[in-house]
Amino acid sequence: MNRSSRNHALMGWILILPALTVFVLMILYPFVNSILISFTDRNLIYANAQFVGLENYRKIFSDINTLKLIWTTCKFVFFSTLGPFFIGLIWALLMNQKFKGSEFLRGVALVNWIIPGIAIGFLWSWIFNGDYGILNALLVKLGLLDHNVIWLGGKSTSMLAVVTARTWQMFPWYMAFIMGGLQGVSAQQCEASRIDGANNFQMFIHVVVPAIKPVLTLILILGAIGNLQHFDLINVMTGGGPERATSTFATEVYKKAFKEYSLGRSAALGVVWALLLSVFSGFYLKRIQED
Amino acid sequence: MRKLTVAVMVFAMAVSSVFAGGAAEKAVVQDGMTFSNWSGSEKASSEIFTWMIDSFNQKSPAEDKVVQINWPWGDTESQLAIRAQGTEQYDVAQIDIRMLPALAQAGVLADLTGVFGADFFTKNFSEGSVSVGNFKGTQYGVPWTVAPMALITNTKILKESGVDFPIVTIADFEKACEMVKTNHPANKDSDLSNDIIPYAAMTKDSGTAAPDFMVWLWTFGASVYDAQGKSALNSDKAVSALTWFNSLMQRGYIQKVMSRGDARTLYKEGRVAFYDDALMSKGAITNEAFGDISNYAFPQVHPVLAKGDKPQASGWGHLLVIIDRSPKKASAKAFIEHLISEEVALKYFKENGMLPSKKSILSNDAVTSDYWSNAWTPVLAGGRLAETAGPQYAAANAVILEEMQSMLSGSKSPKQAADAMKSRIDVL
Repeated sequence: MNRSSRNHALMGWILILPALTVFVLMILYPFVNSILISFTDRNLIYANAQFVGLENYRKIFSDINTLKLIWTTCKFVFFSTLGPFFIGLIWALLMNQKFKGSEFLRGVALVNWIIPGIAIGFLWSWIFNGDYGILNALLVKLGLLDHNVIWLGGKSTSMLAVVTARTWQMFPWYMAFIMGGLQGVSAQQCEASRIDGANNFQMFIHVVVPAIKPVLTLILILGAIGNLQHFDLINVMTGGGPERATSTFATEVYKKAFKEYSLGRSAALGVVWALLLSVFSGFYLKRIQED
Repeated sequence: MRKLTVAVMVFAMAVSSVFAGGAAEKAVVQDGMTFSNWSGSEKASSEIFTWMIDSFNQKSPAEDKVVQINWPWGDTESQLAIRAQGTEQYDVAQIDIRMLPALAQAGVLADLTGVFGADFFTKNFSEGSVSVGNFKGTQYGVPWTVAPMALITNTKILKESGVDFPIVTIADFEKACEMVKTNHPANKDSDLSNDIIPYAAMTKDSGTAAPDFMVWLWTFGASVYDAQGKSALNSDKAVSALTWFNSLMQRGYIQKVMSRGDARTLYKEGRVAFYDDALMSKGAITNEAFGDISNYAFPQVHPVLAKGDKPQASGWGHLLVIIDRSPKKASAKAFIEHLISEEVALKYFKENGMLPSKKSILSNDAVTSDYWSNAWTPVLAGGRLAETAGPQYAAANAVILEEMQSMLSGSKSPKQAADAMKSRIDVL
């Protein structure tokens, strides 16, 4: 390597060093450390820990609740991805019509996404509260209910509540991405399809969707990854209950570490969670490479 | 290039791990002292806590001035345990008596006999109070307020429901709940937003639901653990307790996902007839719209299974502790003495209903003539620490709550829930 290319390489290293340092300190080191902790009986209260091999993993896979945890996580990810996706898609198509006030509506819709997740969790906890929530009050007033429903106390209603809150939070994000994709749809192709006699639905399916398919695939994958990692709303609204009906990997790792103080078990659960995440990350990386 | 990148990252990780350890180093001494607590951030007690600290700081040199650090009650145990492993200076802390076993076993707390002297405790506090701050023979805590939890009763609601008999047994309690549910005017009208909940039992958080349920377990003669330390939750008596508790849900006396905070809010609004709480609840449930608290709130002993049985109660209290790594133990001692002094203790009592702990102050007229502390006197006779106090029992609390929720939702019978509790707790 001659001097010029060595200097060139050195300059490259200097430029990426800050980002590399942050990556190592904030991501790589904690990740590797977590894997190491998962092989110990490390406890939050006691400083010392002993190597226990695969004991934590054995306990996780022999726990009757692990399968339920995986299923509940998949349920949450599925509904919390598709729900806001379809609402965001409809909203984006509407906003793309550029009617009077569409810019304002688009801005207002983004407010949901800007509000911190914890604040949204408290907001929807109040709405769904069984004793003084506005939802019960509204439904009783409309004659649709004759008694208060404890929304956050039922297995299916609690999942419905957290998915609703998450949908409300995230549909602006999907909307923003889809709107960006819609700008790339060829106006001439749309006009041509109209001339050929296509109705709105046919134009949407045969012209718009193929044009925005890369964006749709990308946001579905990213949305699923985001929901797999999501913690705030569920922790605030239900804490993973009742009866673990809303327990996902995120809440379970938190509970194991900070409520049951079992860092080793929590780390092992985190490793299993990371493996699940890596499946989606693989799809994402493959998608990027194809592009 | 790729190999070089990996080599650099591994080297960086190795270097960063040298700095990431950090445990068991000497605490960095800083000006002033810290007083970590949760009460100072709660609406009912923030003012009095600020006054307590300001009044101490006014007469203290700069190096002994106190700075308050707050976190929620539920995070106190883990926060103190984690932070005590670091280098930050922590001096005095408020802890719940249930947190003592975990923190003592973790080596976080200082032995106070060395700081205050052994005579200090025997001279100033009752044997019962001193014992709650003691763990395996070492005195770690100065009792600040110690009083078992009670069944807080809304006498106004009971009167409006036609309940005019003392609640001594479980049968009396059930009868009172039924009368509240069916007779109270608010439960008869069509407005659901002001319905009265007969008993706001804890059913949401494991840290409150499990210890509160334990009182009913003990009332039925059952317990969480047997003498060998194995779970006894599937005994006949435990199943009876669970069956009874489940019947409260079936009869509409209790609700799902009820937290202590919810119960206090609803009680304050006049929508709860009974709920479990501690002495300090006075500040949280006082509602001037109902007049003086003596008009509507009464802390009564838990009902018994049969007349003549000893009423059960969950031990409750706050302790003042000194963190073992604190380099200012002498100053911390002075601050604690200030907090339990007559002037401060009586003001805390007057503002928040927190009973003083020192014998000399308990006999003060202000305490003996107070309605709330007098009403609590019968409750003071009982009280035992929850069987699941301690770090290894946090998972047990979670199991108890989950299986209880399964039972209350109808997914499991009381016997199935009891068997599940036993099998899951035994493998923890």
